[in-house]
Amino acid sequence: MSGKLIVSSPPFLRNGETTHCLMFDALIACAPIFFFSVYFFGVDAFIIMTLSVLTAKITELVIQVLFKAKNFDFNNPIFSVMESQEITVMDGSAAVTGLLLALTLPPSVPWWMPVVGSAFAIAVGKHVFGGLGYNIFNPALVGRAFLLAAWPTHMTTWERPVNWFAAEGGAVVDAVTTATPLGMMKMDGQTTPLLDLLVGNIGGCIGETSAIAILLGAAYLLHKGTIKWHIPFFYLGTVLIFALVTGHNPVFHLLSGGLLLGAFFMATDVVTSPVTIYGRVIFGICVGLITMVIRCYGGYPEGVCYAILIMNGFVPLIDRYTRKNVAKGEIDIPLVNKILN
Amino acid sequence: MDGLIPTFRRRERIPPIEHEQMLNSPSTVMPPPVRVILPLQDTPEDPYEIFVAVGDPVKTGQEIGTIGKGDSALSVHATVSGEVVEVGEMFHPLVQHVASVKIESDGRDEHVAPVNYKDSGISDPFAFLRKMGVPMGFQRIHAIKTFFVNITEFEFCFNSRERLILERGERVVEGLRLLAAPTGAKAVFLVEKRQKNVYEVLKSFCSVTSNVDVRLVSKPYPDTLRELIRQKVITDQENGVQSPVHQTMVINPDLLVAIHDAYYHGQPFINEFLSIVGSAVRTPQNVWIRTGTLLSDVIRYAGGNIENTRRVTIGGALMGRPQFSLEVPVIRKARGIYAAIALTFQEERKSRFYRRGPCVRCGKCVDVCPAGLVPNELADLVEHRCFEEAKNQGLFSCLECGLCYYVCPSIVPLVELIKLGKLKLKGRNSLLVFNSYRTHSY
Repeated sequence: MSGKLIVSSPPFLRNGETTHCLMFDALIACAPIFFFSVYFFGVDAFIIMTLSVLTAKITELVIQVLFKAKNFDFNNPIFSVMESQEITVMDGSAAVTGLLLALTLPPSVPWWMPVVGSAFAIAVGKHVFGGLGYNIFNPALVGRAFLLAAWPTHMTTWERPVNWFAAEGGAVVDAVTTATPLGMMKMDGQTTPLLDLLVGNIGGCIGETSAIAILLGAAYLLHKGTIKWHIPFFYLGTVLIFALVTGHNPVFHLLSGGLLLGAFFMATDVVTSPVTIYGRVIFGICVGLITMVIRCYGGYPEGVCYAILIMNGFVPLIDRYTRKNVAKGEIDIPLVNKILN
Repeated sequence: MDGLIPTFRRRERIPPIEHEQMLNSPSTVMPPPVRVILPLQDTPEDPYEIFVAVGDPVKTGQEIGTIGKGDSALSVHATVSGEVVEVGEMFHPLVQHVASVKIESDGRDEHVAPVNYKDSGISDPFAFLRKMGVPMGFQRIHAIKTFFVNITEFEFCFNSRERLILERGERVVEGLRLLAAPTGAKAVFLVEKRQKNVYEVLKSFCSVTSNVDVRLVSKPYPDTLRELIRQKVITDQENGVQSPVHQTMVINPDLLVAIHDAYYHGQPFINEFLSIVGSAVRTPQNVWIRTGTLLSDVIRYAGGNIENTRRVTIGGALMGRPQFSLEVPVIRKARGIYAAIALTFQEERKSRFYRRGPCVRCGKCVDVCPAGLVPNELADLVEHRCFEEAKNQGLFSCLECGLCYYVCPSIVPLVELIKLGKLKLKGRNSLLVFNSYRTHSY
């Protein structure tokens, strides 16, 4: 006779995907950006990213140990961290937040800024709201907005990328201050060659300069199904159309600034974007509009960060009005009605 | 960084892709089993009649009893020839104990003489089908204007309907014609876009038959669609609402084959066409088996190891009914039940990566939901006991197909929460939630 059978409620299959997959996919997608930024900005970029990721993880660990974990055993901390259900610091979400925050910082910031920003992002951007899955605003962008408001000088001082080919006799010249393409466009009406925009040989934040690296990462994310195409497509499409209509250079606007990084890595953050398909479309279009309004008519040269943060606040509202409603008869017998009518 | 492990392991396809290829080979016929159990009830309260006693010899196809009494009685036929060894309460795969008849085979498999519709002398074709044990929603059948034949395969690895169309397509279409002829109804085949060969075959049949249409649909539709329609009809009748959905019925192609065989060849409905899939089965296949065959015999026939089998469900891996014993019979498609067997085996993974986490609102469940709902919000509302709000958001439109749980990266028990919400709204407090649709009765 056979052994005992398992009786439980269906379904009995899972495709094996967990939240870790989403987080580590984002980290893997950041790898090309990491290499490009280290190539262009040298050790500075590497230090900023490392500090930011480490601080994010330590902040999350401390908060979870202090406020969340029950029965934390201080005599045996490593075992407790590895086995506790409440301590989720190893799931990669804090690392993603820290890395994304570092990618939005200029390479010339002092070492303590990624530390402060990343701690603020995790503590206030994420854990004040209840941790993973409950935050309203994208934590990385919250951290960046905080840093931008607190130390605007540091956050708007840009460093020219190291030009390895021009360096004579291996003597790397000291960092040269420059402006971002968007800043040059806004202040002086000066344009930047498209090839530089594409490769990343321009001034700007660590992660936003190289379009090729970002597109490589985005291709990986889209291939793995970690992000859906709706938000980036409608975001970038809106920017393109807005630029065409108002007479700006659309390709310049697409490739410059943090637009690509924002479209593929920030706006598609699963927690702070709408769940319904129409919601994603609306979200993408609105973010695009706000971005271009800030860029073309606002005081700042760059508007991606604030556009995404503003629309993050509207996500519950968008979700509420884009889901189907029983009272209006929109949810019915799905297929049959379509054929009968 | 231990979370990296699922990142690279997740693309293992469960169940493996070889199974689908095996299922594309021609169907087989299982030889008559040693013993069969034939339930005479669908629920323990049903009335029934029994025509045999312990020790009686029976032949294959002999009527041994009826489910229900009087005009609505549905005949039950012996599926092997031999001797009645036991009459009484036995395990049933959907409800605990029902009155059943156990027949021990003598191995000769003698059939009774077939009597087709023309020779039977019964004027009402539906009464004849009932006599032949073809289970259908006979109460509603006169009001039906549109029959939907669901050829799409919702469950993973199942493709018995596809095989049926490819192997016995003309019988399916002819059965549909017989069914639709008395009421003048039209019929629509629902075919998924990837089932190209089925579409071609059906198109060629439909060009010669009137009132039959083939529709391509983008997503497969679960079998609970039928129950959703039934539920809607009942609630609409209570509210006095009329809608075209009332005049529709979803039927399965294997039932149409049974109708054809009963009408022209006088064969009672004693054969099931099932997909047997799952990791406990060595050779997944589509197989014709006798109704009432015990699950253990079916697993052995498909090359399974009984000792290792840990999870057996009637139905597929997404919507099936779990079984606690292998000594239960394969029920006939009593009144339209979908009684394929999936023998799936997957130990729950106990690793800490696969614990439930908070919903990260990734929207994967919204993308896959065939009913267009927002499962994560429904589950959230049920968890916070906002049942009325959940109802307004379409809780009762949920087909309980299980796809949302299949894709959920946070491992939220979405389907269980939604079923719990349904039960709470219906005033029941049971936490034993298997399937709130009564799939076994009309």
